[in-house]
Amino acid sequence: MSRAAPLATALAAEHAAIYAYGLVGVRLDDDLAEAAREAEAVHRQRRDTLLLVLAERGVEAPSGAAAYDLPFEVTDTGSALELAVLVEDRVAGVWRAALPEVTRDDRRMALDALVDAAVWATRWRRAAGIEPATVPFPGEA
Amino acid sequence: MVFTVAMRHGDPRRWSRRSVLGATALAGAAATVGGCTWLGSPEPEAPPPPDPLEPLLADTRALVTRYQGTRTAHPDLADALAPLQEAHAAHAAALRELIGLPDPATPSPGVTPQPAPAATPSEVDNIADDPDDAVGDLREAEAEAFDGALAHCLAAPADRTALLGAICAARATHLEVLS
Repeated sequence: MSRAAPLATALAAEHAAIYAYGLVGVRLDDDLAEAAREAEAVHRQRRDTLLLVLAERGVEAPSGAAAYDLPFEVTDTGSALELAVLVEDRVAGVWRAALPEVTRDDRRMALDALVDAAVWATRWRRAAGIEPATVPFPGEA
Repeated sequence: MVFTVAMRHGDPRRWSRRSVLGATALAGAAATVGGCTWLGSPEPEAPPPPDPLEPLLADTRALVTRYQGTRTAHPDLADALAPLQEAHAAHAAALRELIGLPDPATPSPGVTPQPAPAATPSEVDNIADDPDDAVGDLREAEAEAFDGALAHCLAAPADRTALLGAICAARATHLEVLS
């Protein structure tokens, strides 16, 4: 059962990401709002996959919190983009940390999740005008 | 000689006759040659097999060179491409360390340091004249590099996956900014 722990941690991160995108989405317009919906859908899909995987293994899945403490208030486009970057960086970090811990069967899921989070973090950095938009080691604290 | 050391840590009562004889023979061989031989027949010491990540390291270094060539040929792109080249250089350094190869920047005493390879004229010649084409070529190289890193990450022992996963993800972000 110890092998399920990194996936439970990842699920908790995906719950938090979905919550955060709820706040991000309402502060963005047009293309950026659409992008936020798309990014949120990626996290919802991964959450659902994790719920299935953990249920199949008889592991108790952490549920999402009603609210999360945020490091800053989301009041405008700028802070919304900043939170989106932070969320994807954190999710990337959780999945990168999971990689050596998961079984070989789960490795592809963890790698795909790390790649998705890194790419979305880069997209949000570009939208926010942050240079460079890339980091050498996505998911590194 | 890990074999004989491991034996000594086991319960002697559980040693089979064959393993005791084998351990004795191995110990004898070690005493005579000092290398790993079988029943005393001397064998030339085989070089260690190449690390499975060496091709990935070579490809990563080739990407560094390719970016350098593109930035030299297209100075207008130099600033935008710099972080991507630096990322590949950082990946190469991390891979070299993971594999356990010596650092070329700190040679052992008495060894003349080799200058860092810069883009040679032939490498610059291979870069497309049109900047859009040159970026397109980089995009193609990154896509191929992404596939390579992904395959290495899926095949690697667990303790190497965090670095390989990060390299794979970084290449995906490079594709994103080159699009």
